[in-house]
Amino acid sequence: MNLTCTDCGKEIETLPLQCAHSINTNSETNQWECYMENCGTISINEFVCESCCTNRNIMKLNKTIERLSLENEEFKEELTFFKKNVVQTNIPNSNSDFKFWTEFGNGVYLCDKGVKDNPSVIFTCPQKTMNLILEGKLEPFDEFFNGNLKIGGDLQYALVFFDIIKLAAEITKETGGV
Amino acid sequence: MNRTFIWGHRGTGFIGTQNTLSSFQNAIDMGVDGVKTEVKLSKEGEIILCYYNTLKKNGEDVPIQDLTIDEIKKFKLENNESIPTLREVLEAFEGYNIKYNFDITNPEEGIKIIETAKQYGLLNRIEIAKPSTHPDSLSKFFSEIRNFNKNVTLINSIFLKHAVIEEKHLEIEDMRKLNIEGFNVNYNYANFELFKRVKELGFKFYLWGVLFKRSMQKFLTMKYNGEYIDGIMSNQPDRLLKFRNEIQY
Repeated sequence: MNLTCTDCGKEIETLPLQCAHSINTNSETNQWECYMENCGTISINEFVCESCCTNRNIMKLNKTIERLSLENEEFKEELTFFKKNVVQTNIPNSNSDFKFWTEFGNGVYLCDKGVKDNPSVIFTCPQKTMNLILEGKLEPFDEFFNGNLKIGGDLQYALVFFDIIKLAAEITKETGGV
Repeated sequence: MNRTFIWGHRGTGFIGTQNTLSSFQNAIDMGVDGVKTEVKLSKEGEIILCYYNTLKKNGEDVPIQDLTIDEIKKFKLENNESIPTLREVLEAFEGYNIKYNFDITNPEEGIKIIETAKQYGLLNRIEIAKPSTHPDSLSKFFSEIRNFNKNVTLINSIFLKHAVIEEKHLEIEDMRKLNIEGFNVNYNYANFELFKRVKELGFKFYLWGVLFKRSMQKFLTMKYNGEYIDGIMSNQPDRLLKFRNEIQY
């Protein structure tokens, strides 16, 4: 089986176990598909590697916060109490680095893949670390002090950024999602 | 009944330019009870109020301790003010009943603060804090300062989650031995149980970094034995004051 990741183009030599264990044929599309935890069920024709799945999950979590900023009055209001800040996150990868930016303050929370000019905060960390931080399973500043998360720029606003993520998680939990 | 003491972080926090005389004045006008900030020593041993470790000189980053006051004064902040010295601050706000809580990075800074405050007769308005990120033990950090002055208020700031969970990180014995008055805990790790425990141990309980309406209201209503939390530090002191005035009469 010659598989290529549709996101990064990397050739996939062996199917990840979770995929191999769940592979079956979709009776409607007649395509092979399998379950990849962070990406849900995906077609083998549009397969993505595990690393890109995690990147997709990182963006999905960020987009959930972005949506919350549009739909939840409390969250939206809290974002008005900060000036605009850009947080740039760089995730080094042996294949290709994954970069995304987040803008918060002045009442908005926006995010997208890529690089934005003049960030006030720059995070550099392994993919798994950022994923678990966004999922609320790791304490960001524990990761900072143990060296997994490198913070450049304004430490004060890095702290605020993580507080905003925690607030978003709290509100999402209370409201049962956006 | 006590009221929670409201500390403006670096003056008015996120409003205006931090660590300037105008920011301190605005914080006082807002009604804060105190100002919390960081200090550094200049080359000649003068205390300045600043959180930067370096400043630009001829395009290069130079450690503050290698710069004279004249050189530091040439550096202009966002609002075109210069970095204030401790003397300037104590003189400018001598007539106001406010306190100062200073994060220091070494005992030398603490001793210089004490000497300066004593010259103005304001030692009772000073608190010296071990920053939450400093790796030294309490004993190593504070012994020299406590030996130098028996009365100055000392505070132990705590940042990481495990520090409030694991008993050893609270360093209770050293807190007592060095007569350290209180803990200053990041609000994300604070809860009623910790507040109760700290009060039962006989220490003051401060929170730092408090943001958001829900957290402010939660901690301003928290009471143990009829007492509110001793102090809260925030980058949004205006909101905090508004909520305190609504909640604590």
